Amino acid sequence: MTDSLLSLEGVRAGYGMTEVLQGVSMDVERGSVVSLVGRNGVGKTTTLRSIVGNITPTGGTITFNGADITTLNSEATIRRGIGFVPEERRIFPELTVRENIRMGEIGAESPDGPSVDDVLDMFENLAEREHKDGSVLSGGEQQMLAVGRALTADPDLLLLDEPTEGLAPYVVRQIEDLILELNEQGITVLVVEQNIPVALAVSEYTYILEKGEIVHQGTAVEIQNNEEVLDRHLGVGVTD
Amino acid sequence: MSSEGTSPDSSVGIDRSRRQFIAAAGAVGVLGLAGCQGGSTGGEEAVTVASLNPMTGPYSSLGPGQRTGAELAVAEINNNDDYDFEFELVTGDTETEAGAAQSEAQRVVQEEGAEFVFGAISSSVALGLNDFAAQSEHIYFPGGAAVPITGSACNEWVFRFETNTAQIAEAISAYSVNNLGNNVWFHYADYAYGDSVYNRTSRRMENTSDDYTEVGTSTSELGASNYGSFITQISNSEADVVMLGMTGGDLVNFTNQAADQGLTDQMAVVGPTQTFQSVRAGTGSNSVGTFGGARYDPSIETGDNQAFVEAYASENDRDPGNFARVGYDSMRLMAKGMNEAGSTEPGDVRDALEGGTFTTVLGDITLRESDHQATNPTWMAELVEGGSDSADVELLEQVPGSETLPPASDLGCEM
Amino acid sequence: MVAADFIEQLLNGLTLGMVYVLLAAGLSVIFGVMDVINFSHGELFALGAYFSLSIIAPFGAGTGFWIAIVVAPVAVGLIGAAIERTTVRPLYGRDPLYHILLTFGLVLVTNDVIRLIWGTQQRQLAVPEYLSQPVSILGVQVSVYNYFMIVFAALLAVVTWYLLNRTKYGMIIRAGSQDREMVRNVGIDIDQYYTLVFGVGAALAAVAGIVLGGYQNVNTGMGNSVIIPAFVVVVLGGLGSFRGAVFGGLLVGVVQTLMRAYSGSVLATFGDTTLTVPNLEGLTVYLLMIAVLLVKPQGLFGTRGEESDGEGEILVGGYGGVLADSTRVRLGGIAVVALALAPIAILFMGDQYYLVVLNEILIWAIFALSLDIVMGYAGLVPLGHTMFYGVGAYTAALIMLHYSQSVFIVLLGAILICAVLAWVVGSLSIRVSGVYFAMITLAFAELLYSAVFKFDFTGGSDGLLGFEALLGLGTVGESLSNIEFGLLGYELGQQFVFYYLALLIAVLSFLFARRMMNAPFGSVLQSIRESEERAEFIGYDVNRYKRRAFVISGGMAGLAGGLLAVSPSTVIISPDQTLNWIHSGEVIVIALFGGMGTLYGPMIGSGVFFGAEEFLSSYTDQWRLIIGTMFILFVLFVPRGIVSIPSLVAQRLETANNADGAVDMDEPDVRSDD
Repeated sequence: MTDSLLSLEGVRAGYGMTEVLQGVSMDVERGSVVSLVGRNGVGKTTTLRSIVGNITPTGGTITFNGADITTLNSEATIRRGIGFVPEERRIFPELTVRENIRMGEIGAESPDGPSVDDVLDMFENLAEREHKDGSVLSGGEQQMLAVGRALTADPDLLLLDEPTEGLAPYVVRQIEDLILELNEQGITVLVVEQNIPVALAVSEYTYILEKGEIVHQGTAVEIQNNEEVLDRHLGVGVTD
Repeated sequence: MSSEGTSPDSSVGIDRSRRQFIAAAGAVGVLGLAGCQGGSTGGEEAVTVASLNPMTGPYSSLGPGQRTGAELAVAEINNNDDYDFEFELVTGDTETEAGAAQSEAQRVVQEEGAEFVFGAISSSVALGLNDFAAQSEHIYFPGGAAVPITGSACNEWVFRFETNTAQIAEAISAYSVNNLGNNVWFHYADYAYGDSVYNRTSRRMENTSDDYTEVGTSTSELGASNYGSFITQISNSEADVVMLGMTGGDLVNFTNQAADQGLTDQMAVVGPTQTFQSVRAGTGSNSVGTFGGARYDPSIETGDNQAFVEAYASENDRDPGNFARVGYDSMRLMAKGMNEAGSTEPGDVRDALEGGTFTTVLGDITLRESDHQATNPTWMAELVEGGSDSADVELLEQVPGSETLPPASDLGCEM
Repeated sequence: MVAADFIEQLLNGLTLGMVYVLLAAGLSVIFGVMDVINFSHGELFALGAYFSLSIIAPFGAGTGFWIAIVVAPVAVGLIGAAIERTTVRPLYGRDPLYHILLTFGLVLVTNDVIRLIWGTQQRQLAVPEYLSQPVSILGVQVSVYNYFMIVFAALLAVVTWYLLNRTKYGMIIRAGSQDREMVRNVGIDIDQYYTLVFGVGAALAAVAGIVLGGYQNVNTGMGNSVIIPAFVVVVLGGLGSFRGAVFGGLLVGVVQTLMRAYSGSVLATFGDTTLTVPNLEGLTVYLLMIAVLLVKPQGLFGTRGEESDGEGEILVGGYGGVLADSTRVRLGGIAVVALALAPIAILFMGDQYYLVVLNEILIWAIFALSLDIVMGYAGLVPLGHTMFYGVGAYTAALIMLHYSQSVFIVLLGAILICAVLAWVVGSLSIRVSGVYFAMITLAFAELLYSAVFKFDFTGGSDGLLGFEALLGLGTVGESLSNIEFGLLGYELGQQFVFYYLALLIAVLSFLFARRMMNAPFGSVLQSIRESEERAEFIGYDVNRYKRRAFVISGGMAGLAGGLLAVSPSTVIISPDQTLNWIHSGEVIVIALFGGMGTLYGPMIGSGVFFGAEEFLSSYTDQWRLIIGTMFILFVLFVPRGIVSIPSLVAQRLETANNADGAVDMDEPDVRSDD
């Protein structure tokens, strides 16, 4: 773990009286794709929200690009170069495709980042629907839109929360390709997934979260072949 | 637009007025001993009297007049050697709402020790105070005009110097149906006063003319501000006359909107209190051409009215209106009753007032033994172009006091 | 003729509707973007009209009106922005309840300020002559002012639409009302925009006030009379939707006007039967509101989903108290003894009026206690709780008038009827949550308030009179008003007997509530308040518990209302005194003052509220202003109420003593990003 772009150390966080993360530590190497997996309700989304700044951790530190971002709120975090694509995509349903991307552009305040037109060039199908409301797009298109919106921040790190949830298999494959392509362009990706095959397919390194703690970590290859781990922590037997 | 309910002042909180001291007594602590007559100057007995007036709510424009009349009377009484007692006046705000009035009445009776209460203009409020007076056994002079106040809800402690709707109906019904038109629409506010106006005037009209027809009726909530839809309805009907059963802010709003929509030009608009100063002030030139009943006018020369008008005008820079005269003479009647009884005990005063004849600004009136209603004369009037911003009152016909009231039993009172 | 009539009524309806549009647009966007339920919107509306009065005065109607219609909204907009920055901004992240409380406090303050500056009399807003003429087009006759209102308001609506849909700021605001957290997650600090939104909303309300003021009049109650219809419009149209506000506003305006015009009129005759339009005027809009909330709570055009869980919590008074439980019990006992002896002290002072005040305090203490069960424990915020108080009072009065005068039967009847009512209302209301729950309970309360005016047996607007209670059963017993006896040469009366009855009932109610809340039932309620989802996961039938809490609460509030009717000081039961929505607000205020979730807190709150009112009102007419301000300060700085003051003080002392900072006794200030 030489060049760690993002690093969490002993992060504790929760909602009100409930503590969800009990001390999470992980590293995301610059230029890699890392996945965070686990069953429902273990705290995967909470982890991302803590990084982005929707939640302030009660303990531990989060370091990004060498700087401590533990207590920063989301506006500040985004501007430092982290893009966030939340669970359920959350595109603005009554804004048009163009407007959605524009929202990202305004928030990013990044003069070097891609403009709305640049993003539309990247995603052909979105360009076709430039002036349609977000709510009429298909699930896959919405996912693309959410990603495109995040890209306007010219992020070094892209956080994806369950990007393939609810999508048809061939769309899932499109998302996988997208992730790999973005990575090739130099963007580090941290993807949270419940879909193990997808997670293992796109990432080089995987962390397994259970009851608010990391219980196992390793390269994708290692885990894929470790049936015991697959069974115990993930409850799956992975078939290729 | 629904405007049920009044302002936030009808909340649990009550608007207070500070105590007013007409007598030259010093500051009195809040913890006065209940029911005890405090010391006063000149060895004269001090009697606490209360004036509860609507200073907020739909009748807020009428309350001040009522109060200034009472204040003038109290000042005169205290300066007059004919009375060997002094009035200490306490005031309160009824908020044109029965619950608030009840609290105020409680306060003035229990905390301030008043045994003689005057006030309220809304008949609904007055009815509540009627009940309260009977329960606490103090004298009450209501300022509301609905018949039931001295009709079905009459009791021995209530005496009314205000002219009631039966009396007004006497003046305006016959004239309207004989001179203005036979097809009548009634629009009234859905509360005691409005109902009373409708009942009385429609009955009188029916008795007066065979050609009379009730074209239609419509009701609105007390305090409603939007009459557009009613006005449209009325103007599209067959009526030549529209009789209004509302007063105060409601009447002002209705008249203004009616003028805006052209109704006042289209047919005769008759309102029992159209002539009131406050109504004229609020309607300006919009009320020209409308008709109304007059319970009082500064120009009349009955009783000692002119002296009253002079005294009032010099004190308040304007002529007195109906509510001022009600306040004025209600207080004076209390004082005269005390003189007659030779005592300031409510029970004795009550007996002296009952059936007594006294001089007032409306001439000599009798507080009838059967229902304690004053036998007031009433007039029919038209509103005409005035010199200033508001319309002038032209009195058309008078009905003398002896003829304005049917027997008490007809009005529902059994005491 | 009929057609012209109908069109005229339609125009009347549209006129009114446009006013609602202006009002609702601001209110809806404010809510959609900021999650703030702004009760003071009505007073901002009134403020616009009042400012105009002052502006028109020197200039006269001709030019003054036009100057006013530009200047006054700007002034009110600035005031709105200032209010947002100073009072609303610090509350972000807290449960929406606190916005309700805060803006309610603002209502008290603003209304009193208006009264202070402009007096209490109704005033006419002078409008240029040429606008208040009747005009007849194709047989349709209305006032020019009608057309003016419609056109002007429509113009403003178009401008607002343009700003919302064609500008950058508008887009951000729209996005904010669709998904506020996401706006943050793309890097935009949406807090900055709130001030703008609040200010513009206030300005729109002010325009509505001027426009309507010219049509009707300007009075201190005008704000109060529009705020509920405005909420109805917002709910119908959808919280946060401008389009919805336009549609809803016009719909409500037209429906209200047409119902008023055609209620009771004959629709058609089939042989012997006549079909008439039922007299539902005043009820229709609330029925509509309830229907929308049950079927599609987001409203006709709304897109907001259910609120996310954990978006701020109701801060209760009980945690981390400095006093041990046993101390509290002892204090409670002392309080009861003091209360029992109070009348004797008052007797010696000779001013029996204080007994009347104490009686009022006891009645409201029970009312506030009932609220704590649903609010402080179950976490439900009902905005219509006065319906149980009112129905309890009316039921009691009716029983006394028609069936029995025995105090026990009367109170029992009040409790039972209200419990049944609570069961019905509760079952329907708990289908929705959060702000929708608050709105639907408000709708039910308003429905009952309007209904009471319509029936003869409830006395209409005159109310009920002539009832009396007997302390006894059947025919045996003395009339409460007649009980008098001498003690040590002093005459005791009705107030005394009632006082001890009320005190007894208050203590019993408290003990009953405490018993219930200490039992597993209470803990389940609390866990529902903290996290409904989790409680459900554990396996509790959340709805059943909520409903039960609601029923208990409703019954108890009915008891309070019944006591009001039974009280010898009460001669009349009228709609405004018992069912006006403002009482729902007051009881919430009282509960907060005292400290929710403690049961005794709200009861203390009642004493403080009425005590302060009595005390203040003997010194100044502006007591409402003072209480309102005090209240706002509490919401901002002492949200856990009076009962939390000892622990707050303790905290300060501790931080003062420990140089290296004490442990924060409150739970960590989790700054969830909204």
